[in-house]
Amino acid sequence: MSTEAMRGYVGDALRRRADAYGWDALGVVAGMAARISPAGPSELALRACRAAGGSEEAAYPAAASLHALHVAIHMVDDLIDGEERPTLELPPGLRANLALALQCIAVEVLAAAPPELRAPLMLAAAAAGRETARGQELDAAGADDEEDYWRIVEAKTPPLFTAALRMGVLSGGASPVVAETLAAAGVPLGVLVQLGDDLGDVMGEALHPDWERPGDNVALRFALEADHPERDRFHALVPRAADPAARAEAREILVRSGAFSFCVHHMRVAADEARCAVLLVPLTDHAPVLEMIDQLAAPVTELLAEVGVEADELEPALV
Amino acid sequence: MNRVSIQQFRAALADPADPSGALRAYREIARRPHPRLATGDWIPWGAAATAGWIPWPDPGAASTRETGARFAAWGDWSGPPADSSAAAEAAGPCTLQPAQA
Repeated sequence: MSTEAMRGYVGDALRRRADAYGWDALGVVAGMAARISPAGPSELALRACRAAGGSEEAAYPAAASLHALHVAIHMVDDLIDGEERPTLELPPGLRANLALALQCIAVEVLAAAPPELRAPLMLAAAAAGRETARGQELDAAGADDEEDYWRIVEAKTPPLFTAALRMGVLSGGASPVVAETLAAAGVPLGVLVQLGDDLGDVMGEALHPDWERPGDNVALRFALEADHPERDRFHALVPRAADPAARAEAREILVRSGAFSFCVHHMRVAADEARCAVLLVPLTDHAPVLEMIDQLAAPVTELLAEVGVEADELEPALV
Repeated sequence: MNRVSIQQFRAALADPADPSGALRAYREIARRPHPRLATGDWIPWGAAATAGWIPWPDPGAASTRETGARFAAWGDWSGPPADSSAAAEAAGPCTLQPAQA
């Protein structure tokens, strides 16, 4: 699978636009293409295209569109969250401005797709941006309860995943019905990634804004709400999370209380739902997309192996 | 989608009478002081567009692909998401056999 060739195409597509204006910040985004994640949306589009029997090159316009969207979404997310280390070192207003440009470019680059695919691909890219923006607004309002948390997660994170699957498989020649069906796998995939994100945000050493909004992080919410012996202590620690020692103690409680395990469980469930949703779709080859799901779920798989429970002991087969 | 709630999960975790393999694994994770604390390990996608550009997972790592034969421990798989198309419904429930093009 030629991830490198895709990265080159995506970088060139953005660099041409940056060079046309001498636009340095856009040039930086073009440079990011050289390090597009092998577990990112552009790669997922390539894999969906292959799954439909298409050539990888057929998905390059979609990959470029998804990279532009992905960066734009992260830039806006940084602004909303007040990240101290944003995606690009620009004043906030200029980051919002560049994100606007990237959203337009995400549609513009799809003009390179075959004529019959341009409209559906452009609509998919536009929908991903619109739906993510709506999810961001819900997220900014905060989750009132656990049910609200899950509703926000499903609104905010999956649209880019569903778009990647839809755009990739359309690029590979699949019918709109097949594309719509495969896109459904993007919902559990988005949930899987968001749960990993939640864990990473609080289990790492750095102070993350989630500590100030604990109801919006499912691991923190668990330790605050579940009936466990250290709940009162956790309540006392969260307001002091800026103190590294308090944060370290809180992280240990996240593990002991079962918050970490809760995330692991739901990551397993989400990965299995995604696999099942993919297997339901009539594709030429399911493996490229299934392998990506496995990559995304690999930390969970490895952790379960580390604790010594064999895969066949974990659960009964689906009934 | 039926999800195991925070309270349900905590109650099951604290109930030693439940012998399921999954809960045994979750209890073992909760007993370990620092399972997988490396931040990048748990940020599979979001990191791709951040300043750090943490690659995740190792692209050179061998695939751990299975065939979809592992499913939720507590039966909370309730079919494909609600927005699946009629084609998915026509395909029927997941039988672990890939649909053919």
